[in-house]
Amino acid sequence: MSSEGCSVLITLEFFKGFAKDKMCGKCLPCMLGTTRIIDVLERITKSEGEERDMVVLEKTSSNIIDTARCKLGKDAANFLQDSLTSSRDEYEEHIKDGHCSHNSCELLINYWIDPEKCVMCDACKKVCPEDAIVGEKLVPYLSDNNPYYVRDKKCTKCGQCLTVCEVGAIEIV
Amino acid sequence: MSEQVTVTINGKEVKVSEGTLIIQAAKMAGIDIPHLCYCECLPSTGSCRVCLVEVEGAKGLVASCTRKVKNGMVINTNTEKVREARRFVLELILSNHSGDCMSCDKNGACELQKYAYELGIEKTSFSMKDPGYEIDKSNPFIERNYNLCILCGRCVGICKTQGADIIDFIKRGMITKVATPLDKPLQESGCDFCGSCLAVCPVGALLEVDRRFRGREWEMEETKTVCSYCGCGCDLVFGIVDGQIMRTTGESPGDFLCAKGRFGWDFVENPKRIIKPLIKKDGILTESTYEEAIKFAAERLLDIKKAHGANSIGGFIGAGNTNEVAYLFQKFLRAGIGTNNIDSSARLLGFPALIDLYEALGDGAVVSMEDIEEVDTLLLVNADVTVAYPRVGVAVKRALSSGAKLVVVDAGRTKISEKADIYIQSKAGSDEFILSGLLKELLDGKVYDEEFAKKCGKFEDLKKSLGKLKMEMVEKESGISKDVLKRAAKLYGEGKKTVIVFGAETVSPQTMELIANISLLTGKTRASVLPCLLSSNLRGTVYMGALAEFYPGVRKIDEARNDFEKTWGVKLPKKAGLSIKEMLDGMGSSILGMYIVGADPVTQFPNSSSVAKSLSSLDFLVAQDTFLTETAKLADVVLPGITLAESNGTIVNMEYRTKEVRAVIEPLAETDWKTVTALSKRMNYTMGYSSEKEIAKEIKSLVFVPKKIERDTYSFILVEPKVSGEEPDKKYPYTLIVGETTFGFYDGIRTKNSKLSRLEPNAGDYVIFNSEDATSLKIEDGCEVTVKSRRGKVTTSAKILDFLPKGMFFMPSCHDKRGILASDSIDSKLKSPQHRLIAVSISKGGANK
Ligand code: SF4
Ligand code: SF4
Ligand code: SF4
Ligand code: SF4
Ligand code: SF4
Ligand code: SF4
Ligand code: FES
Repeated sequence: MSSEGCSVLITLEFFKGFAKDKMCGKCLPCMLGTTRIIDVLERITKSEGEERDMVVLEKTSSNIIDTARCKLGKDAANFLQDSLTSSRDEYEEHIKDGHCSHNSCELLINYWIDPEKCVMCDACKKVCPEDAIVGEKLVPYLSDNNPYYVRDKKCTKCGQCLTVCEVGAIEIV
Repeated sequence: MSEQVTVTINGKEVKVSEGTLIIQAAKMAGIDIPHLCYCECLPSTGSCRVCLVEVEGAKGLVASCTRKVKNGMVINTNTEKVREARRFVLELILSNHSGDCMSCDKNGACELQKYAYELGIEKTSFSMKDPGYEIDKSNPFIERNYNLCILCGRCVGICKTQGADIIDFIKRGMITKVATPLDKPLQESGCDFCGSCLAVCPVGALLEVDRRFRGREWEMEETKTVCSYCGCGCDLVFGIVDGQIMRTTGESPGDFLCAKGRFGWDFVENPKRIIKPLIKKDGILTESTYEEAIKFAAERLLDIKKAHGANSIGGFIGAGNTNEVAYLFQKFLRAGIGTNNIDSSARLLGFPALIDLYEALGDGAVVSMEDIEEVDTLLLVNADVTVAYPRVGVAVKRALSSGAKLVVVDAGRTKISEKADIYIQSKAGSDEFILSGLLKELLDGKVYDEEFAKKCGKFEDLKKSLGKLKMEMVEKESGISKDVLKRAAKLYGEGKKTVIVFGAETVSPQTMELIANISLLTGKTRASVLPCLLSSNLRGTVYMGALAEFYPGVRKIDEARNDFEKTWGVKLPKKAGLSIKEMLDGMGSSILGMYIVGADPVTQFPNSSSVAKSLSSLDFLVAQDTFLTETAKLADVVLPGITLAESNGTIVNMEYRTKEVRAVIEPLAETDWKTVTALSKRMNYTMGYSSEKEIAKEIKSLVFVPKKIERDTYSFILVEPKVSGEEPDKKYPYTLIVGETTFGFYDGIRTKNSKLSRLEPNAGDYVIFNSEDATSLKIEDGCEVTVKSRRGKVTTSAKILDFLPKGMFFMPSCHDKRGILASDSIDSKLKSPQHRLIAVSISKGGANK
């Protein structure tokens, strides 16, 4: 696993930048291939990746290296190839487990409330704009013990709960 | 010749010249390397990467359309690695291609489809992405569906050299698209509709509108013929399905055709065509049978001949008929009827210039389009080449793109003048002054070929007369400063290979003589010129003797009569024939019967109200034409004519090439040659040909096969410069110039009956004002104006465009009423009117106020 951040996201940003600034659009494999790579990487970061995507990425990049007209296109494809080789497990983790271990791919991360730390103050539930947090404020002797947790489906990963929790019970996983 | 090298392609050894592209070398070896962006007629861009091959020793795959062969190269065009690479590119393209071969007209001729099949691609392995562009169906000719575009760039490349240079790649998000500036429709972007882009497109992204869903590639029957619009005489290939015209192309995709040649053929199948003969009964033209019409016409003409003599009959023929028809026509009049009263629209369209040129330089001086592409300096005189003679325009553009220099003399700010090194915007009618000034500057600046000039007659006289020419007068008459002329003379005089291109129908005989003088003076290239001809068979018509003063072969009447009496076996008339103007003047008194074929003098000849009056005063008029023209409306008998698209025969184009015309569809009516022979037979002169081929044989046997005549002695002609055209005065202070437009053609009869007219603003009914005159006359764009000349007045609409200098106005030659305005006064030598420059007055509002 690379240390600077999520490899998938880094590669995606790299290609977006390439397509915007460097790519001249003068040869088809690079122009069309790059947009395809961007599509696939985008899907992967949104946890919509499919198993065959790895093959598509590998083939597309190696084919661009063979067919592109100039070094720019070939270098871009090489970047992807290097990333695929050095961080293969990261890509697979995204695709198979829907998980980003760098917690960078917004749609792949989850918010989790640690019941050990949570003091059941209700601050996060109040601030959550999506009504994604369930639980009941602890009122001694009156309330049941309804611990707090985040409903992943509703949560949009806005991060507001994180900022209000005074005991640091909310974590990104 | 360059060095030969040997290369091995797929194990086969081939010898090719050094510098050949791999893809070309493979083709010579009979191997087709798949390619999409590459097209023989264009510089390689190397963008699609479909043509990749393996070259032993090279790093990675090599694009065969950009890499040149080297001696000993070993090339493999079909290895698994190569196929894999091609498959990849094609699959990428296909994933962006939302087309359905089922309903696509390109099916069967599509290069994408072909290669995808060859590489065994069933389906792209990428997920499909529909580009989602709207299909542009807003113009009448080219349907643009960029959802099928594979971004090969061929259209962009060809529009630069053959078209208007208006399309290019633009960025649309991450993907590029082909578009005009601001992505406007073609018709709003200055597109000439040459259709070159359409011709080179490898897929169905650009298609002929007329062809959609009317027949697939393999159903198309192709016939090669020649374009019958302008005198360039481009080769055409018609695609026919079920006897109907589907599309027109050049012989190969890169061949240029203009909008008229490519899209202007729907007039042929226009339901307004005359198919059946008409006879005037109680003042109304009524359908009759062919037999009856011929019989009636023959009898009436015979009556006139009997009562008043053969010379009371005359004939007029359009300069757009085949040589065979023109030959027959004059033979019928001379040998059958017995008169030399024969004229043709060549008289109005540059025949005088041709005769003058012939006398001064010989035809040998006339160059071809290919020659033009190779010159280093061009002088264009009154030749709006990209509009009136578009193929010449392309030749000029090609010369310019390989670095040639250009001097343009034209009152109009034409498209080509924008590319000129020196543009001389002369005052209309001042050409003779400009060219005299140029001659003087060539002499004074010593930029001429003294050695050659000395060998020409009258050189000393020329020097003397130019010595007397005052440059101040030239400046005054033309409005052009001496310095400009000096620079132009220097530029032109220093050229190593030069040509003068001029519009034959726009120059006066004296201008023609000055052009001859200039080319003699710079004689190093042996005087090369190209007289641009508007009519498709002007040369042929002149050569076939469809003119009062010449027998076939441009032989003078008095000198050649004996020869022709022998060959035709009849006594021929001695009396000199009349030109059209003379015939018109004599109508009602000395001329009582007329036979007019494929021409509409009422529209074409100047002073049309008087032409109509003259024709109405005839005892009998026979008109043979494809449409019910203004002339045909006045006829007593109308015989159906056919178009060149239905004719077999030959024509001679402006380069002096004889070209074969073939019928591409079954003629809608009886052929013209048969009608002439039928009429002749009924008038007791049987010509007895069984086909056009036999007529051609007779022409050939008389050694009248048009050929260039080379000359070995030359002489300068002394010209006193005058203002040509009609001179303005107090009452008529402005000059109206009549000229060609991109989507109109000459009298407009064909273009108006075609979809071309949809692109001509207001169908040609307008007059162009420059903004200065518009302001001073308080005219706004589109407002009604009345143009008045000494002959009559016309109400039309104003269009504001800075095309001509102040005081000059432009009217399209396809404007139906321009004939009302033009002057029919003729020059004494060649009897042709200078009808393109007219003195007029202009006022706001309609004529009735
Ligand atoms: S490979 Fe090079 S030439 Fe081709 S589009 Fe990319 S940057 Fe342009
Ligand atoms: S991240 Fe935002 S949406 Fe998710 S639980 Fe916390 S506050 Fe609610
Ligand atoms: S352009 Fe070619 S591949 Fe595309 S639909 Fe038409 S025929 Fe088929
Ligand atoms: S029709 Fe001719 S001028 Fe118009 S876009 Fe195509 S190539 Fe260019
Ligand atoms: S429109 Fe046709 S010629 Fe032009 S880039 Fe697209 S596919 Fe190529
Ligand atoms: S340039 Fe002239 S001959 Fe050629 S296609 Fe156009 S009109 Fe026809
Ligand atoms: S044909 Fe060679 S790159 Fe397109």
